[in-house]
Amino acid sequence: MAKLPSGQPKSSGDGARVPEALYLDLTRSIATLADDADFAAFCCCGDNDPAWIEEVEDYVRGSVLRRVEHTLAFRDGQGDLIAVSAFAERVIRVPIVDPVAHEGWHLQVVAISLEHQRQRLSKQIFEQTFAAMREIDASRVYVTANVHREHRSSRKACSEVGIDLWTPLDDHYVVLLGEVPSS
Amino acid sequence: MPATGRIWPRRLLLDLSGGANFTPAALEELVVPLGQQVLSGAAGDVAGIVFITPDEALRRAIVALAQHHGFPFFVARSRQPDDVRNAVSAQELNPAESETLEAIARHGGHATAAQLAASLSLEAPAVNNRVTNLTRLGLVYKVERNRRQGAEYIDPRYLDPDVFVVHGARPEPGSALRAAGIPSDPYDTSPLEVDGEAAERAAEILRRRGAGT
Repeated sequence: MAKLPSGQPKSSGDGARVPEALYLDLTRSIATLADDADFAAFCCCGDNDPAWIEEVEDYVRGSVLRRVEHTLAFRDGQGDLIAVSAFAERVIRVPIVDPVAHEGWHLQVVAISLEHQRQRLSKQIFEQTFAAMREIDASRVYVTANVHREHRSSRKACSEVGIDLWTPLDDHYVVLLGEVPSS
Repeated sequence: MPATGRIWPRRLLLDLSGGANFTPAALEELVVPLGQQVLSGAAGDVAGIVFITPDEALRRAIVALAQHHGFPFFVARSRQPDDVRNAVSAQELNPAESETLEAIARHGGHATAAQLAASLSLEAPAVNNRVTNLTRLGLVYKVERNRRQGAEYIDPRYLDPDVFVVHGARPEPGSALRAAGIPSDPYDTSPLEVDGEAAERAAEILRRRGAGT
């Protein structure tokens, strides 16, 4: 288990009324089937959210623990499950460099519980997910994520941590590419 | 159980009686990774897994999968405590192993080798062989204690259900997307080839990180 950075909410510093990033005192752990009951009750999709967000909730509830090699659980001081992330190995080929093929990671899911959304927690979750990736294999530079084209909050969250190179996956999704920060 | 002052392992109850129709592939998808995690220790300190379903055919299918892979599962008709305590081992046990498991149950679900030797009228080495086999099969959990107390052997069917998981109607990955007419597979991890501007910037990342030329 790892303790995430905690402390006071980040201030904008200039008095402007911009949303502040809330740094919660979260604990990161490798999720196992012992976490299954909490995952099965995880809620990140509102009543009127589109199908691609419902899909994320379904995936966290029923699949991620059994399908993805590395799944992380983020819990608050009361032990409540606040967020989930998961990643798997992926090869990224860049034909204009030598070697062409590079071992990287693919983010299968990053989800924040409904009641903790819009609190700018995503950067904290991403940073800790990157930390877990480095702990497993620090040599992997690239990270990818498949995101629905209209999922603005997800694309913005990825962009904020440098996952912003994109290539189409199909008519609905894009593949975002970035790097796992070196520290 | 659990008694105070002891660290007991977890028991998982998986209730499949929620009305979902499990195809053979879906059942395998559920059962096999779970069993592999238990055998590898990745599931944590899990002493036993009891699958619950009133569907006898589904119980038989779980038993077949467990036997094929050597998973330490039990199957029961319902989550009622009596049904769970009478859950059937998916592994085939010989008469001696069955007798030993029943003896542990008569002791309330946990017993030392000395207690079992007394109740089964056996010598200690014979009991040790039996409980060692059951422990190796994953059907009995061994709790190490000091030499004077002796190790205790636990029948996981008698543990409190620390983890209770309901697998009634969990959707398959992609099902919400397909219902909305979106055929994408967002979980695809096949090799990705980048080109154009993305490739240029990807190459720049590698050069900066000293991972490519």
